[in-house]
Amino acid sequence: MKRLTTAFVLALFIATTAAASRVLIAAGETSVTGAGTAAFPSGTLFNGVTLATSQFGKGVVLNSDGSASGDFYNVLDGSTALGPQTITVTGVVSYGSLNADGSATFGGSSWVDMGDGTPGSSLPFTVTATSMGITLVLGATTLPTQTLTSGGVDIR
Amino acid sequence: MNTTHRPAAASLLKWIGAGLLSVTVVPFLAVVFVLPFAGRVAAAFDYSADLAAPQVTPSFSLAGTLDFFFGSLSVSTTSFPSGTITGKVTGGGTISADDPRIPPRSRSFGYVAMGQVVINSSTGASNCTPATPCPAKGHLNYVNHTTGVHINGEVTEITNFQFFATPPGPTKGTATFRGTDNKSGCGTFTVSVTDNGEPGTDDRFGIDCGGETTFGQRQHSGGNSQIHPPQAK
Repeated sequence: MKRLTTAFVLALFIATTAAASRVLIAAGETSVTGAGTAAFPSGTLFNGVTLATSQFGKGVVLNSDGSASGDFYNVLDGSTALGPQTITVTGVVSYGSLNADGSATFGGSSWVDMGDGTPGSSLPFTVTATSMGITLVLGATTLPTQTLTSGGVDIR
Repeated sequence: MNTTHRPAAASLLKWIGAGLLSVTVVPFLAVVFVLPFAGRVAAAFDYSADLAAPQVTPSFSLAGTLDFFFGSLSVSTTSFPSGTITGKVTGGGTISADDPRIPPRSRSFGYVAMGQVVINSSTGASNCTPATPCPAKGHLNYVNHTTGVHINGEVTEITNFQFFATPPGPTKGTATFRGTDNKSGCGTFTVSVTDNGEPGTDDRFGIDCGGETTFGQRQHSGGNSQIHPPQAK
């Protein structure tokens, strides 16, 4: 009888732990949203374009297992010797996580239109977002942090 | 005896012939004569740009017209997942590309809204309505670059969630969610979005919060709104 009781309590404990884990995992989702404008440090160059300001919008869900889903959009306004040029980055997010400092890093595949009439191209991208700005990595190029000038970024 | 049976048989053949003629020729004539006017009839309906409803552009199509006439006879092949799922919609981008009152890139948005919804397998619609909203979580950021209004708040309710298409193939649909702004003081915001497939160039985003409005859903000038594929709750 004592063994039976012990087995029952053990089974109950395992079941409760498993259920609690599922709840905790479900509660582990974090949303990263943002909209607004930002500025590049002077002298920022990307593929021959001098970048000055940007506009962004993003809605991303980070899961506790490192997967993520959502959308990232970044318009990079700059110029060349020929005049103004606008680069657009449209990203589909597939992975991401929260960092120890409270920032969030996510990434996936993006479609980059250089805005110069050439065909767009697909590039992997990564974004590190804080409440102060976003740092975009396009392919092998890490752009300087875009510092928020209007709007906001929320990580919750 | 024979003289009385032959007229009866001939009469029966006449009736059968008339019956066959009516079930084949009449529908053919109906399609031939009504088809050219069906598009105009459809266009006469007013598809107003309601925030809670996706924008529909009336159009004429042969398939649509045949479906209109014979839809009740056909067996629907469209089926959506049924039961409780996690309804999720995310987006990031700018508007608008279809309204001169809102110049392209003059509004930026980023949002996440998700909650448990019950889907009707035959229509793709959910149980969430303005009168019976579904609890939700998520967040919204929206900026009007012309006025500087920044709306920022938690998503608390989904009041509409409907699939137009689910995998296989791209997921399409529409959703409306609400929450409370804690930045600009506009109060309760209502956001309505439509995912018309990939890329997001034909997707739509609309918001109402106090005096801030996009006059219904407006076409993206960049970015994407995504109704996510059905996920188990």
